[in-house]
Amino acid sequence: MTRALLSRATKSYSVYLMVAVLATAGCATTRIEQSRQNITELQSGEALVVLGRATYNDRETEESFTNCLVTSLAQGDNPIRLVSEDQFKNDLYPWFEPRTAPESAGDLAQLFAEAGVQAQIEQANIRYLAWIEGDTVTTDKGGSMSCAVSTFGGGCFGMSYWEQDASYEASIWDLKDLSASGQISADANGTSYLAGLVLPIPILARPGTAACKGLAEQLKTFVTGG
Amino acid sequence: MTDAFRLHRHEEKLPRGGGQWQIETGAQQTRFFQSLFTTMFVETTVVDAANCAEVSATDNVTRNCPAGFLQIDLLEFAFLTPQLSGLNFFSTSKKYQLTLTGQSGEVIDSWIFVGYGKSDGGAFQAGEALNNASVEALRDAGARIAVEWSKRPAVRSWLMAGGVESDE
Repeated sequence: MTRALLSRATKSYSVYLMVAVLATAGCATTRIEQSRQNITELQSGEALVVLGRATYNDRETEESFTNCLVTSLAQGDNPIRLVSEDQFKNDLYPWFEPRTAPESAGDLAQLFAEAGVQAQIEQANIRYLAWIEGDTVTTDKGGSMSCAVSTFGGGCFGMSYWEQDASYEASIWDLKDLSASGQISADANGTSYLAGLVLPIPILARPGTAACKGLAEQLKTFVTGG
Repeated sequence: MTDAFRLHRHEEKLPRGGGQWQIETGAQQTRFFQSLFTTMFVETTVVDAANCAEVSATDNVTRNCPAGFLQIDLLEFAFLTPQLSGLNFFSTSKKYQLTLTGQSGEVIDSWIFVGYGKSDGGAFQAGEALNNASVEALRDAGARIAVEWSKRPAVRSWLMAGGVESDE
Protein backbone atom coordinates (compact mmCIF):
# COMPACT_ATOMS: atom_id res chain seq x y z
CA MET A 1 0.00 0.00 0.00
CA THR A 2 2.78 2.41 1.04
CA ARG A 3 4.77 1.45 -2.06
CA ALA A 4 1.74 2.15 -4.31
CA LEU A 5 1.24 5.56 -2.68
CA LEU A 6 4.93 6.36 -3.07
CA SER A 7 4.81 5.34 -6.76
CA ARG A 8 1.74 7.52 -7.35
CA ALA A 9 3.38 10.47 -5.60
CA THR A 10 6.54 10.04 -7.67
CA LYS A 11 4.52 10.01 -10.89
CA SER A 12 2.62 13.16 -9.84
CA TYR A 13 5.89 14.90 -8.97
CA SER A 14 7.29 13.98 -12.41
CA VAL A 15 4.22 15.46 -14.11
CA TYR A 16 4.47 18.69 -12.08
CA LEU A 17 8.18 18.90 -12.88
CA MET A 18 7.44 18.40 -16.58
CA VAL A 19 4.79 21.14 -16.55
CA ALA A 20 7.20 23.49 -14.76
CA VAL A 21 9.91 22.84 -17.32
CA LEU A 22 7.42 23.37 -20.18
CA ALA A 23 6.28 26.62 -18.64
CA THR A 24 9.72 28.11 -18.22
CA ALA A 25 11.68 26.65 -21.11
CA GLY A 26 10.95 26.87 -24.85
CA CYS A 27 10.35 30.64 -24.90
CA ALA A 28 11.57 32.98 -27.63
CA THR A 29 12.55 36.58 -27.08
CA THR A 30 11.63 38.98 -29.89
CA ARG A 31 12.75 42.48 -30.77
CA ILE A 32 10.94 44.57 -33.39
CA GLU A 33 12.38 47.77 -34.84
CA GLN A 34 10.80 50.16 -37.32
CA SER A 35 12.15 52.86 -39.58
CA ARG A 36 9.61 55.07 -41.39
CA GLN A 37 10.44 57.24 -44.40
CA ASN A 38 6.95 58.23 -45.58
CA ILE A 39 3.40 58.40 -44.34
CA THR A 40 1.48 55.24 -45.14
CA GLU A 41 -2.23 54.62 -45.10
CA LEU A 42 -3.89 51.71 -46.81
CA GLN A 43 -7.21 52.98 -48.17
CA SER A 44 -10.37 50.93 -48.40
CA GLY A 45 -10.05 48.42 -51.23
CA GLU A 46 -6.29 48.76 -51.57
CA ALA A 47 -4.15 45.68 -51.22
CA LEU A 48 -0.76 44.64 -49.93
CA VAL A 49 1.51 42.04 -51.54
CA VAL A 50 4.03 40.14 -49.41
CA LEU A 51 6.99 38.77 -51.39
CA GLY A 52 9.80 36.57 -50.11
CA ARG A 53 13.12 37.69 -51.51
CA ALA A 54 14.67 34.80 -53.46
CA THR A 55 18.30 34.78 -54.51
CA TYR A 56 20.64 32.27 -56.05
CA ASN A 57 22.82 31.83 -52.97
CA ASP A 58 22.13 29.33 -50.23
CA ARG A 59 20.02 31.71 -48.16
CA GLU A 60 16.48 32.66 -49.06
CA THR A 61 13.39 33.55 -47.11
CA GLU A 62 11.46 30.41 -46.25
CA GLU A 63 8.08 30.02 -47.89
CA SER A 64 6.70 28.93 -44.52
CA PHE A 65 7.61 32.31 -43.05
CA THR A 66 5.88 34.36 -45.73
CA ASN A 67 2.86 32.05 -45.48
CA CYS A 68 2.79 32.65 -41.72
CA LEU A 69 2.96 36.41 -42.32
CA VAL A 70 0.14 36.35 -44.86
CA THR A 71 -2.06 34.28 -42.55
CA SER A 72 -1.46 36.65 -39.63
CA LEU A 73 -2.10 39.76 -41.74
CA ALA A 74 -5.39 38.41 -43.07
CA GLN A 75 -6.73 37.65 -39.57
CA GLY A 76 -7.52 39.69 -36.50
CA ASP A 77 -9.50 42.82 -35.87
CA ASN A 78 -8.27 44.76 -38.85
CA PRO A 79 -7.54 42.22 -41.60
CA ILE A 80 -5.68 43.54 -44.61
CA ARG A 81 -6.64 42.75 -48.19
CA LEU A 82 -3.79 40.73 -49.66
CA VAL A 83 -2.88 39.58 -53.16
CA SER A 84 -1.10 36.24 -53.05
CA GLU A 85 2.55 36.09 -54.01
CA ASP A 86 1.95 33.44 -56.67
CA GLN A 87 -0.90 35.41 -58.25
CA PHE A 88 1.13 38.61 -58.24
CA LYS A 89 4.20 36.98 -59.80
CA ASN A 90 2.10 35.27 -62.46
CA ASP A 91 0.24 38.48 -63.35
CA LEU A 92 3.46 40.50 -63.52
CA TYR A 93 5.59 37.79 -65.15
CA PRO A 94 8.52 38.10 -65.92
CA TRP A 95 9.22 41.16 -63.76
CA PHE A 96 9.29 39.61 -60.30
CA GLU A 97 11.37 36.49 -60.87
CA PRO A 98 14.62 36.14 -58.85
CA ARG A 99 16.61 37.27 -61.89
CA THR A 100 14.44 40.23 -62.85
CA ALA A 101 12.87 41.55 -59.64
CA PRO A 102 13.65 45.19 -58.73
CA GLU A 103 16.31 45.39 -56.06
CA SER A 104 15.32 48.74 -54.60
CA ALA A 105 12.42 51.16 -54.68
CA GLY A 106 14.52 53.30 -57.02
CA ASP A 107 14.00 50.67 -59.73
CA LEU A 108 10.21 50.99 -59.60
CA ALA A 109 10.05 53.86 -62.08
CA GLN A 110 11.94 51.78 -64.66
CA LEU A 111 9.71 48.78 -63.93
CA PHE A 112 6.54 50.81 -64.39
CA ALA A 113 7.81 51.91 -67.80
CA GLU A 114 7.51 48.31 -69.00
CA ALA A 115 4.39 47.59 -71.01
CA GLY A 116 1.44 46.43 -68.96
CA VAL A 117 3.01 46.65 -65.50
CA GLN A 118 1.30 49.81 -64.27
CA ALA A 119 -2.04 48.75 -65.72
CA GLN A 120 -1.86 45.36 -64.04
CA ILE A 121 -1.01 46.86 -60.65
CA GLU A 122 -3.76 49.47 -60.94
CA GLN A 123 -6.27 46.84 -61.97
CA ALA A 124 -5.49 44.78 -58.86
CA ASN A 125 -5.45 48.00 -56.76
CA ILE A 126 -2.19 47.08 -55.08
CA ARG A 127 -0.84 49.94 -52.98
CA TYR A 128 2.05 48.46 -51.01
CA LEU A 129 4.62 45.80 -51.62
CA ALA A 130 6.47 44.22 -48.69
CA TRP A 131 9.74 42.44 -49.49
CA ILE A 132 10.67 39.97 -46.78
CA GLU A 133 14.32 39.01 -46.37
CA GLY A 134 15.97 36.84 -43.76
CA ASP A 135 15.93 33.35 -42.37
CA THR A 136 16.09 31.22 -39.25
CA VAL A 137 19.41 29.55 -38.47
CA THR A 138 20.59 27.19 -35.78
CA THR A 139 23.40 28.90 -33.91
CA ASP A 140 24.22 26.25 -31.30
CA LYS A 141 23.30 22.72 -30.40
CA GLY A 142 24.41 20.05 -28.01
CA GLY A 143 23.50 17.32 -25.60
CA SER A 144 22.74 13.75 -26.51
CA MET A 145 19.75 11.50 -26.76
CA SER A 146 19.61 7.79 -27.21
CA CYS A 147 16.62 5.62 -27.89
CA ALA A 148 16.44 1.86 -27.67
CA VAL A 149 13.80 -0.74 -28.33
CA SER A 150 13.88 -4.30 -27.04
CA THR A 151 11.48 -7.13 -26.53
CA PHE A 152 10.94 -5.89 -22.98
CA GLY A 153 10.07 -2.38 -24.06
CA GLY A 154 11.81 0.76 -25.15
CA GLY A 155 12.39 4.39 -24.50
CA CYS A 156 14.56 7.41 -24.93
CA PHE A 157 16.95 8.89 -22.42
CA GLY A 158 18.98 12.03 -22.43
CA MET A 159 18.62 15.68 -23.26
CA SER A 160 19.53 17.61 -26.38
CA TYR A 161 19.08 21.27 -27.19
CA TRP A 162 19.41 23.63 -30.10
CA GLU A 163 19.44 27.40 -30.18
CA GLN A 164 17.92 29.23 -33.12
CA ASP A 165 18.08 32.82 -34.28
CA ALA A 166 15.37 34.21 -36.55
CA SER A 167 16.21 37.49 -38.23
CA TYR A 168 13.90 39.05 -40.82
CA GLU A 169 13.37 42.44 -42.39
CA ALA A 170 10.42 43.82 -44.30
CA SER A 171 11.00 46.62 -46.81
CA ILE A 172 7.76 48.38 -47.68
CA TRP A 173 7.42 50.06 -51.07
CA ASP A 174 4.62 52.40 -52.05
CA LEU A 175 3.51 51.52 -55.60
CA LYS A 176 1.52 54.75 -55.94
CA ASP A 177 4.40 57.09 -55.13
CA LEU A 178 7.07 54.65 -56.43
CA SER A 179 9.09 55.11 -53.27
CA ALA A 180 10.29 53.31 -50.17
CA SER A 181 7.98 53.81 -47.20
CA GLY A 182 10.08 52.19 -44.49
CA GLN A 183 11.60 49.06 -43.00
CA ILE A 184 10.61 46.78 -40.14
CA SER A 185 13.02 44.28 -38.64
CA ALA A 186 12.17 41.35 -36.39
CA ASP A 187 14.78 39.41 -34.45
CA ALA A 188 13.89 36.46 -32.27
CA ASN A 189 15.95 33.79 -30.62
CA GLY A 190 15.20 30.88 -28.40
CA THR A 191 16.43 27.52 -27.27
CA SER A 192 14.49 24.33 -27.87
CA TYR A 193 14.95 21.11 -25.92
CA LEU A 194 14.29 17.47 -26.52
CA ALA A 195 14.07 15.63 -23.22
CA GLY A 196 14.15 11.88 -23.14
CA LEU A 197 12.01 10.64 -20.28
CA VAL A 198 11.21 7.26 -21.74
CA LEU A 199 9.14 9.14 -24.29
CA PRO A 200 10.89 11.99 -26.17
CA ILE A 201 9.37 15.25 -24.99
CA PRO A 202 9.99 18.26 -27.23
CA ILE A 203 10.01 21.71 -25.71
CA LEU A 204 10.12 24.02 -28.71
CA ALA A 205 10.93 27.71 -28.64
CA ARG A 206 9.87 28.49 -32.23
CA PRO A 207 11.67 31.82 -32.77
CA GLY A 208 10.60 31.81 -36.42
CA THR A 209 6.95 31.84 -35.41
CA ALA A 210 7.61 34.52 -32.81
CA ALA A 211 9.35 36.70 -35.41
CA CYS A 212 6.46 36.14 -37.82
CA LYS A 213 3.79 37.19 -35.32
CA GLY A 214 5.76 40.24 -34.22
CA LEU A 215 6.53 41.32 -37.78
CA ALA A 216 2.95 40.80 -38.94
CA GLU A 217 1.54 42.89 -36.11
CA GLN A 218 3.96 45.72 -36.76
CA LEU A 219 3.49 45.54 -40.53
CA LYS A 220 -0.27 45.77 -40.19
CA THR A 221 0.08 48.84 -37.99
CA PHE A 222 2.61 50.36 -40.39
CA VAL A 223 0.61 50.11 -43.61
CA THR A 224 -2.68 51.16 -42.03
CA GLY A 225 -1.06 54.32 -40.77
CA GLY A 226 -1.13 53.42 -37.11
CA MET B 1 9.30 21.76 -80.83
CA THR B 2 10.71 18.39 -81.56
CA ASP B 3 9.40 15.13 -80.15
CA ALA B 4 12.57 14.90 -78.08
CA PHE B 5 11.61 18.23 -76.45
CA ARG B 6 7.94 17.37 -75.97
CA LEU B 7 8.63 13.94 -74.54
CA HIS B 8 11.79 14.73 -72.60
CA ARG B 9 12.41 12.63 -69.52
CA HIS B 10 15.52 12.75 -67.39
CA GLU B 11 16.74 9.60 -65.68
CA GLU B 12 19.71 9.56 -63.35
CA LYS B 13 21.09 7.39 -60.58
CA LEU B 14 22.78 9.55 -57.99
CA PRO B 15 25.97 8.39 -56.25
CA ARG B 16 26.36 7.71 -52.53
CA GLY B 17 22.92 6.19 -52.15
CA GLY B 18 21.18 9.19 -53.65
CA GLY B 19 18.62 6.97 -55.33
CA GLN B 20 17.24 6.59 -58.84
CA TRP B 21 15.43 9.65 -60.20
CA GLN B 22 13.04 9.95 -63.14
CA ILE B 23 11.93 13.45 -63.97
CA GLU B 24 9.31 14.14 -66.63
CA THR B 25 9.94 17.59 -68.04
CA GLY B 26 8.57 17.33 -71.59
CA ALA B 27 4.90 18.10 -71.03
CA GLN B 28 5.61 20.87 -68.54
CA GLN B 29 8.10 22.74 -70.73
CA THR B 30 6.00 22.28 -73.87
CA ARG B 31 2.97 23.89 -72.22
CA PHE B 32 5.07 26.67 -70.75
CA PHE B 33 6.89 27.73 -73.89
CA GLN B 34 3.78 27.46 -76.06
CA SER B 35 2.06 29.83 -73.65
CA LEU B 36 5.08 32.16 -73.55
CA PHE B 37 5.51 32.40 -77.31
CA THR B 38 1.77 32.89 -77.82
CA THR B 39 2.00 35.91 -75.51
CA MET B 40 5.16 37.30 -77.12
CA PHE B 41 3.94 37.26 -80.73
CA VAL B 42 0.78 38.50 -82.45
CA GLU B 43 0.24 35.11 -84.04
CA THR B 44 1.95 31.75 -83.59
CA THR B 45 1.46 28.41 -85.30
CA VAL B 46 3.05 25.10 -84.35
CA VAL B 47 4.69 23.51 -87.42
CA ASP B 48 6.76 20.41 -88.04
CA ALA B 49 9.37 22.03 -90.26
CA ALA B 50 10.67 25.50 -91.09
CA ASN B 51 10.39 25.05 -94.83
CA CYS B 52 7.25 26.96 -95.79
CA ALA B 53 8.98 29.06 -98.47
CA GLU B 54 10.73 26.02 -99.92
CA VAL B 55 7.49 24.04 -100.11
CA SER B 56 5.71 26.98 -101.73
CA ALA B 57 8.40 27.23 -104.38
CA THR B 58 8.27 23.50 -105.04
CA ASP B 59 4.47 23.37 -105.25
CA ASN B 60 4.30 26.67 -107.07
CA VAL B 61 1.55 27.62 -104.64
CA THR B 62 1.50 30.96 -102.87
CA ARG B 63 1.35 30.48 -99.12
CA ASN B 64 1.20 33.04 -96.37
CA CYS B 65 4.45 31.96 -94.73
CA PRO B 66 5.27 33.26 -91.26
CA ALA B 67 7.91 35.94 -90.78
CA GLY B 68 10.17 33.45 -89.07
CA PHE B 69 10.48 30.16 -87.25
CA LEU B 70 11.48 29.63 -83.65
CA GLN B 71 12.79 26.31 -82.39
CA ILE B 72 13.64 25.60 -78.77
CA ASP B 73 15.70 22.59 -77.72
CA LEU B 74 16.66 21.34 -74.28
CA LEU B 75 20.39 20.70 -74.39
CA GLU B 76 21.03 19.74 -70.77
CA PHE B 77 19.12 19.10 -67.57
CA ALA B 78 20.88 18.86 -64.22
CA PHE B 79 19.79 18.82 -60.61
CA LEU B 80 21.27 18.69 -57.13
CA THR B 81 19.78 17.27 -53.95
CA PRO B 82 20.64 18.45 -50.42
CA GLN B 83 22.50 15.17 -49.88
CA LEU B 84 24.82 15.92 -52.78
CA SER B 85 25.27 19.65 -52.38
CA GLY B 86 25.35 19.87 -48.58
CA LEU B 87 22.87 22.75 -48.77
CA ASN B 88 19.28 22.70 -47.59
CA PHE B 89 17.53 22.96 -50.93
CA PHE B 90 17.01 21.22 -54.26
CA SER B 91 18.22 22.99 -57.38
CA THR B 92 17.86 22.42 -61.10
CA SER B 93 19.41 23.97 -64.18
CA LYS B 94 18.12 23.70 -67.72
CA LYS B 95 20.24 24.65 -70.72
CA TYR B 96 18.18 25.62 -73.76
CA GLN B 97 18.97 26.61 -77.33
CA LEU B 98 16.61 29.04 -79.05
CA THR B 99 17.07 29.21 -82.82
CA LEU B 100 15.42 31.81 -85.03
CA THR B 101 15.27 31.08 -88.76
CA GLY B 102 13.91 33.31 -91.50
CA GLN B 103 11.22 32.58 -94.08
CA SER B 104 13.74 30.90 -96.36
CA GLY B 105 15.13 28.72 -93.58
CA GLU B 106 18.34 30.70 -93.00
CA VAL B 107 19.48 30.86 -89.37
CA ILE B 108 19.15 34.42 -88.11
CA ASP B 109 20.11 33.84 -84.48
CA SER B 110 21.00 30.93 -82.23
CA TRP B 111 21.12 31.52 -78.48
CA ILE B 112 22.16 29.12 -75.73
CA PHE B 113 21.10 30.09 -72.23
CA VAL B 114 20.45 28.52 -68.83
CA GLY B 115 17.46 28.73 -66.51
CA TYR B 116 18.07 28.05 -62.82
CA GLY B 117 15.71 27.22 -60.01
CA LYS B 118 15.83 26.17 -56.36
CA SER B 119 13.37 25.07 -53.73
CA ASP B 120 13.47 24.15 -50.04
CA GLY B 121 12.57 20.60 -49.28
CA GLY B 122 12.46 18.25 -46.33
CA ALA B 123 13.38 14.61 -46.37
CA PHE B 124 9.78 13.58 -47.10
CA GLN B 125 9.05 16.25 -49.69
CA ALA B 126 11.85 15.54 -52.14
CA GLY B 127 9.62 14.99 -55.16
CA GLU B 128 7.62 18.14 -54.57
CA ALA B 129 10.74 20.23 -53.93
CA LEU B 130 12.42 18.98 -57.09
CA ASN B 131 9.28 19.70 -59.10
CA ASN B 132 9.15 23.23 -57.66
CA ALA B 133 12.81 23.78 -58.50
CA SER B 134 12.15 22.53 -62.03
CA VAL B 135 9.27 24.97 -62.42
CA GLU B 136 11.44 27.81 -61.11
CA ALA B 137 14.14 26.93 -63.65
CA LEU B 138 11.53 26.98 -66.41
CA ARG B 139 10.23 30.37 -65.29
CA ASP B 140 13.79 31.68 -65.14
CA ALA B 141 14.47 30.49 -68.68
CA GLY B 142 11.21 32.06 -69.85
CA ALA B 143 12.09 35.33 -68.13
CA ARG B 144 15.42 35.40 -69.95
CA ILE B 145 13.65 34.92 -73.27
CA ALA B 146 11.04 37.57 -72.51
CA VAL B 147 13.57 40.17 -71.33
CA GLU B 148 16.82 39.43 -73.19
CA TRP B 149 15.99 37.72 -76.48
CA SER B 150 14.58 40.72 -78.33
CA LYS B 151 17.68 42.76 -77.43
CA ARG B 152 20.03 40.43 -79.29
CA PRO B 153 21.32 42.39 -82.34
CA ALA B 154 20.24 39.91 -85.03
CA VAL B 155 16.84 39.42 -83.42
CA ARG B 156 16.31 43.16 -83.04
CA SER B 157 17.14 43.68 -86.72
CA TRP B 158 14.67 40.95 -87.70
CA LEU B 159 11.95 42.45 -85.50
CA MET B 160 12.51 45.95 -86.89
CA ALA B 161 12.45 44.59 -90.43
CA GLY B 162 9.06 43.13 -89.56
CA GLY B 163 7.76 46.49 -88.38
CA VAL B 164 8.21 46.02 -84.62
CA GLU B 165 9.34 49.25 -82.96
CA SER B 166 12.28 49.15 -80.56
CA ASP B 167 11.66 50.05 -76.89
CA GLU B 168 15.13 51.59 -76.56
